[in-house]
Amino acid sequence: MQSFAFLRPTSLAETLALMSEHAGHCRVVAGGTDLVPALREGRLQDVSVLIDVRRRPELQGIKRTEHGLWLGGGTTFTAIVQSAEVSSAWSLLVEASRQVGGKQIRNLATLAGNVANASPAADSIPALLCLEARVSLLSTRGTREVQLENYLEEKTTGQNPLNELLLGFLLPYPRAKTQARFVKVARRQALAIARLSLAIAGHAEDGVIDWVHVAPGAVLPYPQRLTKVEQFLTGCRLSAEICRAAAELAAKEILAQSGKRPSFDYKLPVLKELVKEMLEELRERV
Amino acid sequence: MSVHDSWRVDAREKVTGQARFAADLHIPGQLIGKVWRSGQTHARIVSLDATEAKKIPGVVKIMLAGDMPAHTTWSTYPFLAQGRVLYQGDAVALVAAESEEAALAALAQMEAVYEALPPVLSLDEALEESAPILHNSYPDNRVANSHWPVRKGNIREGFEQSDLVLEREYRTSHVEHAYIEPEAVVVMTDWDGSLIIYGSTQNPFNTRRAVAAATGYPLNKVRVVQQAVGGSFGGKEESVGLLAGRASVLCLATGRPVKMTYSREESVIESSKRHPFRFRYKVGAKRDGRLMALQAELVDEGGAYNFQAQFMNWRACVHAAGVYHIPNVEIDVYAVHTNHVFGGAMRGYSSPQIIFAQESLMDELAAALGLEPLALRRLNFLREGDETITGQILHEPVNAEKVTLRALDLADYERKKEAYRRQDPDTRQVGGIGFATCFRGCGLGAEAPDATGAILSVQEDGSIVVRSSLTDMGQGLQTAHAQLVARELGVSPARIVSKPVDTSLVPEGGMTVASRGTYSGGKPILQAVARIKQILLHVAAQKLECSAGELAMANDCVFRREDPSQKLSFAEVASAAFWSGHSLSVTEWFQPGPLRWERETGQGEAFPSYTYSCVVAEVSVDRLTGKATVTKLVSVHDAGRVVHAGAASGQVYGGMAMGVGMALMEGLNFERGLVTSTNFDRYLIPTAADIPEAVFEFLPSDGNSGAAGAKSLGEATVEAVPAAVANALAAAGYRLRTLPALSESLLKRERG
Ligand SMILES: Cc1cc2nc3c(=O)[nH]c(=O)nc-3n(C[C@H](O)[C@H](O)[C@H](O)COP(=O)(O)OP(=O)(O)OC[C@H]3O[C@@H](n4cnc5c(N)ncnc54)[C@H](O)[C@@H]3O)c2cc1C
Repeated sequence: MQSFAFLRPTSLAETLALMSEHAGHCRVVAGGTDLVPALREGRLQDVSVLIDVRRRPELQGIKRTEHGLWLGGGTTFTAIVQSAEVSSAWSLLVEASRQVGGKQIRNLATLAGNVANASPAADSIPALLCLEARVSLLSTRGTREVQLENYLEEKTTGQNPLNELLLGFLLPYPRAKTQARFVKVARRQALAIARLSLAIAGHAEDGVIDWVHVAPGAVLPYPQRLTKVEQFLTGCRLSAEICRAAAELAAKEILAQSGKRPSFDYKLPVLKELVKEMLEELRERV
Repeated sequence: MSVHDSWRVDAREKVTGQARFAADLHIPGQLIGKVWRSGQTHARIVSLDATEAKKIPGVVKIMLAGDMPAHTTWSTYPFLAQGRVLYQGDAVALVAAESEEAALAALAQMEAVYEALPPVLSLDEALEESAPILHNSYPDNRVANSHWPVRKGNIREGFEQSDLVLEREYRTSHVEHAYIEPEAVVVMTDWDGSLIIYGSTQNPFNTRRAVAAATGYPLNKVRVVQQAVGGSFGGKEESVGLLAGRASVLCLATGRPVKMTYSREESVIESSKRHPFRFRYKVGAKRDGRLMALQAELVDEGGAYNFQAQFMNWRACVHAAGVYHIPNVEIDVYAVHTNHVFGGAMRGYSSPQIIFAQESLMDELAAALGLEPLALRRLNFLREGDETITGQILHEPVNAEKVTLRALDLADYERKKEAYRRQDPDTRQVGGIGFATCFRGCGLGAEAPDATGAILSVQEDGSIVVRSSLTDMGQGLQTAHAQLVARELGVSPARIVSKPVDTSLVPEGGMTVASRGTYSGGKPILQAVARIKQILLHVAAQKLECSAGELAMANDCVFRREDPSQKLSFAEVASAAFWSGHSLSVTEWFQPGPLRWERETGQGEAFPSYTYSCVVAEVSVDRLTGKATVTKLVSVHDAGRVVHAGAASGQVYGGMAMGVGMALMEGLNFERGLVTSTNFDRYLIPTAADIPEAVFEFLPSDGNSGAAGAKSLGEATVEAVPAAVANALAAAGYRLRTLPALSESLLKRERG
């Protein structure tokens, strides 16, 4: 493994200063569960400085605020799974978090790490997208708050200069009677990266969809909501036929964004079935 | 379980992290050795240039094939390839440096030019008329000595007499051993110039052969000392021989100790794999289910180099028809070369693959005949006095039917089978139950003499040292041997220390393979115990003024059976024996009688004894995703008399886990011959969460040839698992003829 300096700043200000000083060849490290394998495989040749943020108290904490639930970026998946607060109204995130890695990984892995790594297969992201998460970012230039989808877009298109600290997430209070579910398809029961995942949140009144968010994982260049499918469904009366049409549309939207991949022979038919099943559930639960 | 069965000689050391593995050793002045690999599927070496690499500070030595002091190959495997490389793991240069960083920096500076040659990427390609020839001495790409035929009865008449003939093809994949400890060795010279190799090795004597080949040293100047081994399963054989040979030449060339450890990626790239097979079976039966004829072609992929296929294919020909009586048989087994990593030994040798094919075939035949799987098997099971397909009359108890009935009973098979048949086929989760029965020839059989040795020595204080010629690699062999000693001498296991194999101290006793460690390896131990016991009783009799025949040994004492108060402690007797000039150090050797085998017809006496096993599996399939889960496994093994119930149970649980992996998820991925799943993020093995509920039982039996009545078990525990899972999947509606049963394949069945 390459050698690197490991810095442990003693304040948030020092953290930001170090990030700015070493911009371009540093990474902050939280659980290290993405970073360490990447270093070992030589995928981060330009990185010579690691800045430890694991114990920064400013990145910790789960609490209700006026605008929603605040989750510090350094919150581990274990903390999320065990939190009564998160379960109370944002159980979609708990459902996804429970399926991350294995116990040892969940003890280390953080929500900010999962999101900042922006893997197409990250388990928390489809759930966070459906929960309309906002991210709070910090750098020597100040603070800003953006929608998660914007953050991910900046990140993956290289517009983000990498030296912003992800301070935390704000999950707005869900609308009344929201139904939500997350499923993950993987090759084994634990320690398995999603081959495919799907988060859906929404609400139907008398069989008519008020609103719905649909976010698949591991099929797009980076996780996004399928807005065409959402638009198609909004205002629709749910029927078997509509569910089928929505599933077809989902596959089409994914193909348009990702192009044809060999794994899609398996993934797309399964995704379509999952979309149908989860929409049917939305219908039945009303 | 008796009280003796919950201890293990190395439990405390392993649990507390004290056990020393080869990678834990640090010899003052040691260099770090590294291998530079071709990374090519099949290529001619145009040039290798180490000029820049040599300039890296800390680099002490770089060796190419031309610098090797003696042989460049061991058996067929090159220490360093010359002229041509046949797979990506082929080594082309060795580096020794002061540090790991310097050694790696040197590798990065090496320059090579290759000219790609047309590759052979599958066993089917290897068999094509126009296939590239990989080894000039084998223009048909067949692995040397790997063809083993079986000819019995008259195959043509057998099919003519059959009412139904069924033909099927089955396949299996490359499976990685996935031991937790990757290969490691440390090599240094002794004061007399001989070599000492500390290593993670399954077969120290074979490692010694490899080192002798690489260095040109005689065997008596190569001493291999086994360290604690973190699993092997047949794997730490070729790769460790190559590693030790390479480290030894670096050690001699630099005059410094050399340590070499493999990364997981190197281990996966170079270490042998379970041979993938292609099976073509044709079976004929009467309408009532009686088997009349079996014709089969079993082809396995040997990979770039191969020495094992000749042995595993012999075992394959013996077991090719399973545990059934069939009068007319024609079987051909052979292996082919490809540009993939080589096949080697892996727990079960060829059996897990064969049993998958042959027990799937039995279920398919039963379905075609409209019979229940059990009914077809009961009609054809081998019984005492029957002749096997290889012409052996079975004189010992044949318990195929007994283990099957007991396992089905334990699994509540009949009731569950009916329940699954009535399940709603439209629910998302569907389930099924299935089973497989098999036998396993114990030990090496007619493959090679099953001879081995041991040294037992009692010290004057009554403590005991046991040295077997066979190795413990985690399976608990030292514990089983200590158990035999403790039981026979009536002493507590705490008195006994078992030492790992040191090739300069114990007689060469062949390889620790074929589940022979207790079955054969226990024999010289028992012989040695008998001799020591005779001496101790003689000495005790003099002291107690009685005859030796009146004495018994138990509870760490020697006492008169008539009057147990007349006794001596074990230590007292040991001391008295030593001080009166008796030898309490005994070397013993076990040599079995010869077995007859006729190669052209495949007829003879294959094995003295057989272990019988049945595994019942229950599965659940998610129809939407195609994902299969094993929900329960039940197994019953007739392994004769179990020596150490704790260690034996460990084998059963481990075998089940390995079998589930092979059935559902394990298979190396290649891209144009290069392995893409080189670590456990891509090569998936079952986690604890994937291991089903497990129930098992040992069916005790007597009248066999094993040490203390123990037959083979280690490999038997995994063998029928993939087959049972495949049959359970079939019962759920998914008959797959290729393993592993990936969701993609199941979904295709679901749709197609
Ligand atoms: C065995 C194993 C299994 C896994 N299984 C899963 C799984 O099932 N599902 C899944 O989604 N993932 C899985 N992962 C991936 C990984 O565990 C997660 O992505 C995890 O959430 C990463 O968090 P971390 O704290 O370890 O991040 P780190 O490795 O510390 O960092 C990851 C990236 O995020 C950046 N980063 C971290 N914190 C911040 C911050 N506060 N602000 C800005 N940037 C930051 C780092 O600079 C780095 O680029 C697995 C990993 C392993 C090793």
